[in-house]
Amino acid sequence: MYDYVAGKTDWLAADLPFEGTAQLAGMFTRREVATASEDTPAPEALRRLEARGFGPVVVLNQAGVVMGAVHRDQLESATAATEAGALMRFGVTTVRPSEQAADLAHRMGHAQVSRGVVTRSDGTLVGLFFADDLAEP
Amino acid sequence: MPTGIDRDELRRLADQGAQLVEVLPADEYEWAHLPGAVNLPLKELDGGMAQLDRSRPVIVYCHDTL
Repeated sequence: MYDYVAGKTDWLAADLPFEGTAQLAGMFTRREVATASEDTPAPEALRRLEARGFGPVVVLNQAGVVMGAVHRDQLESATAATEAGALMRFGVTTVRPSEQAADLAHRMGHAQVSRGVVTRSDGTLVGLFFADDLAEP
Repeated sequence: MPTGIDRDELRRLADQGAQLVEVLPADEYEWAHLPGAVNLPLKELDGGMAQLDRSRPVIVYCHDTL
């Protein structure tokens, strides 16, 4: 007999499939988000943001771990030679895909935050969670 | 005493036909469980083991460390 020591908490936080009635943040997370590396020029990061239609641009390292985020106004005011890494805000608040979606949206409403970066327990990007996405049919 | 395994090992064993058993209460199992897992709450584990295929490995789990 084996014991999966880290258990269901670990499984769900890793954004892996599950069965059941739970409505978790990962189910409502937008997966196709604009990303950049730290050396991506600001105009290219802005182009990716505009192509996606929503943001921010999430800055990843080579392992896909979230390093920070860059917003449209920062990119628009940057020179062409500026890299995303020089503009990004470090230490963005992240949430796990295993959070209960309604509870998360409720907390975000109280904090007057409309979107959040969703990461797995190893820090790799899942996508962006928009509280308003829960209200849509 | 069960052998502790991590997520990667679980996936490897599950691919080879291991049986997954969630030992949490039924309501927590219904809320979310690993794909294909059966529910044998801890209090019923000893009697419920008879339902399992003895020829295949068994992996038990709960929320986190038991």
